[in-house]
Amino acid sequence: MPNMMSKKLTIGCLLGLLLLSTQCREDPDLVVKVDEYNTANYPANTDQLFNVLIPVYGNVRRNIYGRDLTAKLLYNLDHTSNLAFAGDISWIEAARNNLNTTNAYAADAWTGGYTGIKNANAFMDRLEFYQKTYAKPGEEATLNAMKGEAHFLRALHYFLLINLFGESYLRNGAGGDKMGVPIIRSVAGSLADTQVPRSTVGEVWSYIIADLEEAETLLAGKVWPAAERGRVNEWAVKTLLGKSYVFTEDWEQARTKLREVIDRGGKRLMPFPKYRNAFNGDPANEYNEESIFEINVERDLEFPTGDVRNQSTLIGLVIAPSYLGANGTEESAAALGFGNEFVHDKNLLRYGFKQPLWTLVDNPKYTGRNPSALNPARIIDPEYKKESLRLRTEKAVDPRLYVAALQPWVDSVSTDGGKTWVPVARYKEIPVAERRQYYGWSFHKFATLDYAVNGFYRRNDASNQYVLRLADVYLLYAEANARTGNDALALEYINKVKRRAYSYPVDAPSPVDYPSLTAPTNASDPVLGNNPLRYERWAELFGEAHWWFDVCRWRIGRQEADYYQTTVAGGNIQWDDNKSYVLPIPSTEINTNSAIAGQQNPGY
Amino acid sequence: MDEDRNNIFRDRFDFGQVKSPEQPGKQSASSRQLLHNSVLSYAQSFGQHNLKALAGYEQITTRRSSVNGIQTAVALEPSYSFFPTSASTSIVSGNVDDNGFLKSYFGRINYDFAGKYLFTASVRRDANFQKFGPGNQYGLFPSASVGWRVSDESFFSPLQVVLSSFKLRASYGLLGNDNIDSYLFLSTYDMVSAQNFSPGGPRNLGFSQKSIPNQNIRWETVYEGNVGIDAELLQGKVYLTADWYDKTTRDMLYNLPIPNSAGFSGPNVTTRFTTNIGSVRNRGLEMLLGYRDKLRSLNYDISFTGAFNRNKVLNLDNINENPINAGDNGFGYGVMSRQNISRTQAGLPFGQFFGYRALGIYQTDDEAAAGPQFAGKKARAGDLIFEDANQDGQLNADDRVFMGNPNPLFVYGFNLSLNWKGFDLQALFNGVAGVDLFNGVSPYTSYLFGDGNTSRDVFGASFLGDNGLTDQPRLGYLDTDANGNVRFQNDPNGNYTQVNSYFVEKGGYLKLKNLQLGYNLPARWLSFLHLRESRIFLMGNNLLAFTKYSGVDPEIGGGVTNRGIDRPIRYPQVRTYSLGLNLGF
Repeated sequence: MPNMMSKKLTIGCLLGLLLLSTQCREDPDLVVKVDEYNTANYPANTDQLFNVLIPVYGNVRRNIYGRDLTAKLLYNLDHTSNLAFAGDISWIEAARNNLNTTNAYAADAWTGGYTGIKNANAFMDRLEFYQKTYAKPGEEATLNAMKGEAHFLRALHYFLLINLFGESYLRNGAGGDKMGVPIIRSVAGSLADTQVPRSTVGEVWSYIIADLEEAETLLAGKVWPAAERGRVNEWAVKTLLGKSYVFTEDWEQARTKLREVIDRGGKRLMPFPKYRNAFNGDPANEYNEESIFEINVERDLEFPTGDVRNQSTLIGLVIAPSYLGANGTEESAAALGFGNEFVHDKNLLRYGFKQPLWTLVDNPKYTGRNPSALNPARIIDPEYKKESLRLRTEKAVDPRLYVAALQPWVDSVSTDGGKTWVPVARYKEIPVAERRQYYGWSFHKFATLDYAVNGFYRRNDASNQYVLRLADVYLLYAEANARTGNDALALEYINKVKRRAYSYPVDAPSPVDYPSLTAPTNASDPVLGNNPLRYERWAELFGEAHWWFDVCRWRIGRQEADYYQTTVAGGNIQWDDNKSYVLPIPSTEINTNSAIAGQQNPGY
Repeated sequence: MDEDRNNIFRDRFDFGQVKSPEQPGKQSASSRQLLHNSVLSYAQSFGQHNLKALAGYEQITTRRSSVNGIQTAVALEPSYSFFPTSASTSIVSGNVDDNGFLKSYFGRINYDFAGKYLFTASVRRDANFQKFGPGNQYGLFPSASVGWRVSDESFFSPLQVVLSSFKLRASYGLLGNDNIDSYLFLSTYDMVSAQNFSPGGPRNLGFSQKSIPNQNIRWETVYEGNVGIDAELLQGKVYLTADWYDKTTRDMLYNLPIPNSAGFSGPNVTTRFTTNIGSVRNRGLEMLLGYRDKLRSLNYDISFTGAFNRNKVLNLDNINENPINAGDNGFGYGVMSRQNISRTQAGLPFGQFFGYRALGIYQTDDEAAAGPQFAGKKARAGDLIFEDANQDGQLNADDRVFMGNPNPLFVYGFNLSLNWKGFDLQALFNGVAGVDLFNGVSPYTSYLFGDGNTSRDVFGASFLGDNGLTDQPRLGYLDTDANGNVRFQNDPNGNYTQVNSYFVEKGGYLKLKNLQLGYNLPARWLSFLHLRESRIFLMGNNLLAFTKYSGVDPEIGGGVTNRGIDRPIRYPQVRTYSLGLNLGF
């Protein structure tokens, strides 16, 4: 075999060169990403832990109160708005109260709710890790407070989910065994963990109340410094707890808890002039004496719409006010954003505004050429405007109407940051041929009034979102008393809210007091006409994402649909008592969660 | 080494409250890869025994680094330079990742006896440390093949006249796949939001978990067996290749959508969980049959290819046998939004269309009123008749059925090649048969959506304008609302907005993919022009298509679970003509 050795035996390794520059590397056991935080060492201090709590708050602003749930879904379900934009089936379905399982806004509410819950659970997970790994003596109070915040915020998300998607409300002690929503107790660690069936309505409410009770203990006595005054405190917890008791018709506990907030929470109703401008981003009026929990919204020019660091909302985009167009006619009206929906005309009537539709007359000051928003050829009948202003100043119409809405030709908005103000116009999205059939008032509450938000920085509202405020507490407390036979106390708290609206001292009898719980209100319809409690909840909290839940728990949807009747984009409301009170479980959830198969809500 | 750099400039703007100074941005990303490869090879012949062997080791380490920066209110004339003023703010981000690490050990032996009996065996052991976690990093992938040139045997010589060449082959082997994102086994916290707690207060950044880690994720392995023949008849005039294969993919990697209730999705985002879902089998037969010959100065070669494939999901055992819903024709505006079109279920081929079966169109209101209804909806004449599959008297999601298979039964092609003197002509046809497509564009073109966008297809709808009943379902109806305004009630029966079989079409086609006519200049002209070669040609791609499919193009791909769905945002194949001249000096 001698010649074998001479055969081709080659070493293909570029040994000399390569072995100098590389060497065979040992197997790493677990590689970690060095450019992201990972669960092996994060968070390492309380500041980092706080950063994990932030997304729960951020979710309340961005995914809950930021647009879709409120302006797109709730405003249409409860007809706060009249949808004029006809290009989105999901939106139209909401306006008609007849949704499909594929409805985008029902799905956004579901997704938004559960994203907040995941964020809260992620915080709980990291808190536990931190306590085991890095916690130092003396940090307990800080950790407890943050844990309390997470419990509250998780409860808030479940509160919204159960009221939107639960098969039934708890009424007269019944309904607890109906289908609720899935309870996600911790961040899913595997695929199997994501397959969760619906718990019962009763179980979900128990979970909410347990979370709130835990938060109440953990946050007892906690006072935040001024720069952090938007964080949850025990009064926010007690308020949501009291409200939960009202929603579950546990009237005795509701009275006790809400009374505690009223007596010891240190809150009082803000005076009307402040209330008038408390919903439009004026920092002087935010976190006021009445606010119990609000989410800070910041006009943010540093990070644009799509950046997760942006601290604004998108509500202003869809409820953007309309103003007289370039040639000064109502037909050419433009909006300070997309401008998709306006205040439903029937709401003006409810507030007591009974002037007929206006007519236009020649403008005596018209220069004869170059018509514009500031130099219109035709204007509202001056007599009509005079009467409108009289109704307003003499409070012949509920003053809260003007907090809620902007009257065409009477109120004005600015497109240039407040340098020039132009008259509000009949809503621009109403088809021109029909526009004059409508009042078409624009939104004032939560609207951005001084510039157009549909540019590059469109997520740029400044208006804080109130989640809980004392007027809500007063009215819940009134309801709990009315339902337990304490009519006098109920009436007093309803009247307190009304007195503020009419600028009377809150705690003393006033000429505008309702004499009884069945006294006439500004509204003349069967739902609110002789029901001060309902009227005040509707009028006081207009546009603040409360009314839909009241409609559902009082089961007045049929009557409400009969009152509002129709919408611009969707035509007649298609109310169905067996369907419309409850949103569909989104098809995307049904398609991916095998445990929820067969648990769709009735009617879908 | 790989470098990628960009400069971006956004000019200043001022719309009153909304304004921004000019803002140059710079992005730079680099990656460095170090490859270490050592191979030991050996070859030896012992008489008619030929042996080759090879063994090796390979490692690839990858390092990536990137930086993005923007600076506002730069000084000097606006440029891509960062030259700050006191009004400037700068935002910088960047990251580094040194973890890319792949390792492979491999070996192979080739043996043959007299070129008649062939044998190959190989094995490789691969590890990917960036994609798989502890315990799952390595995968072992052996394979072997045998071949027999039957026509080289002495006993075969009498047959040589007819069958000039004949070979039998068989192989079986494993192949690994790690084509997934990195770090799926890790739980990380990413920036997801920000919040402050007083007007103008400091912005606190928020970090949260963005995905569910999958500690068990491992290599996908394809087990492939193959038996084949290669043959030539009549001195090579007829040539034939045939293969039967069985390809079973185990631990198949898939991006599974997870429920929104898990909380990992933002609005309009479906979060996915990449995991090994189960096993799928592809079995089929592939054939090539050709004939080449010469007729005086005309050379011709004509061949035919055909492939049958059957795929079947054997199990989805790693996801509790839950079906996978996938695929959409998404373009927004509520047209079939948030609905899946395909369903993958064990025992069936991948990605079957799944929805309501449309049995026809209701001819009269009476007929419609008597049919099954969706809750809150009322069918009328002109609406699709949806099948009440479970016969419970009403329509709901439980009535959806499998309604089409997007996996072609048969894929075929013809290739024609002619040569005559200086001219040459080539034509390539291909086609598929036995396939269903979901025409997801039709709901948009034949229905009203969005802010008024629509196509003329709507004019064919039943009861639109002066139309009576047509073969297109009605779009909706006009209704007078409480204010006396006429309102269009769009699609009350869900004809166009629910996934249904009305949009499932036969998708078979035959296409002339390529036709080429060329001419080579004769040699005597070439020498005159001092050229080595010269060819002028005319070529066309996608010249002809024969299909019954009503959409733009039936050649629709897609992933394994969402094949065959036509979508508005899909570009059709382009038809190109080219005229060319090749010159060789």
